[in-house]
Amino acid sequence: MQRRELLKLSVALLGAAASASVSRALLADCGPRTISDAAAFPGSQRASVELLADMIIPTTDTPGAVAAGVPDFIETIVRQWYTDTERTIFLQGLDALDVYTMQSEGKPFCQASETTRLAALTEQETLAAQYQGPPPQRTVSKPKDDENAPFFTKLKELVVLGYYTSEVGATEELKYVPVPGAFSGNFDFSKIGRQWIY
Amino acid sequence: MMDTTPQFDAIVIGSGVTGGWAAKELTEKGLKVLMLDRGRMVEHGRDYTGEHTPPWDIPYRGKPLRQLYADDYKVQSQSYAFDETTRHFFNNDAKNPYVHDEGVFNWFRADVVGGKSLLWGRQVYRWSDLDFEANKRDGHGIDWPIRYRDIAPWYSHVEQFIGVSGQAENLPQLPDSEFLPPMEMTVVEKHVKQGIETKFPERKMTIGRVAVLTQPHNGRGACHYCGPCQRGCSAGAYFSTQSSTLPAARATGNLTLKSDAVVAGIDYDPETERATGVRVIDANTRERATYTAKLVFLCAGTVGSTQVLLNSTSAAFPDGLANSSGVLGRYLMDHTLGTGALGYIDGFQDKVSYGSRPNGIYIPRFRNLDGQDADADFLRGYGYQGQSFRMGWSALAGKVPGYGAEFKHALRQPGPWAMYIGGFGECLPYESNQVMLDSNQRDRFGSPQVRFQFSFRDNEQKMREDIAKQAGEMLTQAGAQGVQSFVGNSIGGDGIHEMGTARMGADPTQSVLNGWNQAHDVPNLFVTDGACMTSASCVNPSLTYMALTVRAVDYAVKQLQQEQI
Repeated sequence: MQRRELLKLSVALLGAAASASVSRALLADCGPRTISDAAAFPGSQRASVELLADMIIPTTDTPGAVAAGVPDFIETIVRQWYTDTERTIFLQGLDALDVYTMQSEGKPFCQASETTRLAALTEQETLAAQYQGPPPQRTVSKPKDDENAPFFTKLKELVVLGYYTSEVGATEELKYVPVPGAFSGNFDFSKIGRQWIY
Repeated sequence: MMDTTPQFDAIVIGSGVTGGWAAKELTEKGLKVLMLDRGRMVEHGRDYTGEHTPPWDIPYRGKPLRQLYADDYKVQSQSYAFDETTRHFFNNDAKNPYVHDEGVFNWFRADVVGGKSLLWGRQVYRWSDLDFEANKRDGHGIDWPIRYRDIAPWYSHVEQFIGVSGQAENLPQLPDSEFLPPMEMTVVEKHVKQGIETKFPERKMTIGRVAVLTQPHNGRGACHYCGPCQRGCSAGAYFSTQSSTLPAARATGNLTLKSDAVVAGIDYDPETERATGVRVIDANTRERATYTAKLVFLCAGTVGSTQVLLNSTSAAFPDGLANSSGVLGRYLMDHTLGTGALGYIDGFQDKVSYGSRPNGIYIPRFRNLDGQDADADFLRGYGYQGQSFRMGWSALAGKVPGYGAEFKHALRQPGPWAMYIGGFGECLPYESNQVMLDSNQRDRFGSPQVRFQFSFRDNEQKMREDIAKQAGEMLTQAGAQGVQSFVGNSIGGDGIHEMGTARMGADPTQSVLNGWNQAHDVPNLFVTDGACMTSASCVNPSLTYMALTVRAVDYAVKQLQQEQI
């Protein structure tokens, strides 16, 4: 389903009373905080992805997902790497978040309050938890991605992969030593305090 | 009068593990050698373009390039070693295809000088007489023409040069190599070892024996534990043609190396009963040439070598060169793998590894050692490879629910310790497991494509069930929690230990090669890669290929000097 169709549907579901605010909200400026080279997602989608990236891996005592460039990675994957099926599931997921926040407080996801955004994302997590994927195939071949995995699963996978394989994630949040020079199988974790990226 | 003097003393076809060794030994004995490889040149260090690439510089952060892989790397992309840091070493399956019947055989191939020596798993184990006598004992296949005593000094010769780290254990079924210091087991592996050896006194767990240097050796650097060896190692810490045998062969001044040289066939002179030369097609220009030599060493990899022989037909050998027996292409074998068990180990939460060890542990064969075990419903045996690890961020992310600061903080800590062991099972030699040519399907050079007929059978399946059962019992007895055993479904080729198809044997009517890897029918033709294998053992085969190669070179050069060939 395309985003435009989904918006039509959401308007239908919410009824005429809500339709004005829906339209207004969706047209409102919801610009991204960072600029993607790919510059592919419409502003509100980009803004949602940025918010989501930092909701999943926020800045704490180390930088979070946005600082690590994760939104660019997500855009690249969704636009260039995903199959049509995967892309549709992902974009529909973004739309579903908008629909949720619209219903709750009449604003798109990127303008909604933190409480509402958390509720919207948690609903997606709950939906994803109910999904039964295909049984794992125990072969020597590398596991393949499940094309039909739900939105939250896809989102979390991309944020996690994008973050921990980024220079920020690998070297500031976790530990990366490209040339260790020695091996020990009995090393005190307290000396590093965070896990290796490999 | 035409000059009939051969251009070279010897031609070596292939430059992988065995081709490199043949070139080194032949050139060091003073022979002028031409080494051919169908792949492009890879220079040591310079062309290891994926080495030490940080994860953020890997395209799509390591996610597969699905369309490209489906189109051009359908088989190769299934290898654990295949990704964007190594793809340039692998065969392009669209450019160089074989008849790929789904689910029959996965033919993993390199397409570079150095071959799979750049990509291999580096595990090296000597065979014992348990292996060399296996066929004779149970009647499957024909007897090996050699025994352990014939090859033992050549194992030493090879090990002294390549450098093998490992622990001496004095086990009759797994003779010790000449070892560099062993790599260290993790604290959890030591714990599991103690558990297994206490509960099963006849079983042993040792550190993997690996052609990776734990100290500088023959001008090569020691391992720096960066992890993915298959990207190439400019320190030369693991054995490859580029790090080890090629520099030695070049240093003699006797080597000519031609890359991009696809062998179309070997010429045969029925009058002299000798191979006279090798017909070559330039992979880029399609230019054809014939090179002549007194000796031919065929080291193109198990399937590649047999393909060359099957392609080399003449009135004297209408079914392929050196194939008067009719067994060429038959008795193809591989190891089963991917069967074993995984369990979690409590405790040791304050400990991690430092460095990425390119090696694991090994549990040598303990089944059917002294005749048939009463409770074993299969012949022969298996060994386990394995390792401990702490669950990392990627696996944890799938298990830790939620998101936000707590989630992030949870992933900062490594997960629980786990221990995995997986068995490599011996496959019996079956006549109908074979490599053949399909003249209806040709490659871009006009040569018929290779086709496979292969299946694992009842003995391999029963062995897999035992591998899973014993693995589960060992981990459970060693105190592991949540132990899961699994029976894998690897197909032929998945083990990348394909061997056989030009087997050795004493009887020229039942084998292609004699006890010196010399073709019964063509005395100046030697095949020393995995094609020569008469049975499969359960241990990784490369070390044995190397030892057979240097033994064959020694014999061939002596025969040449005595004008016997």
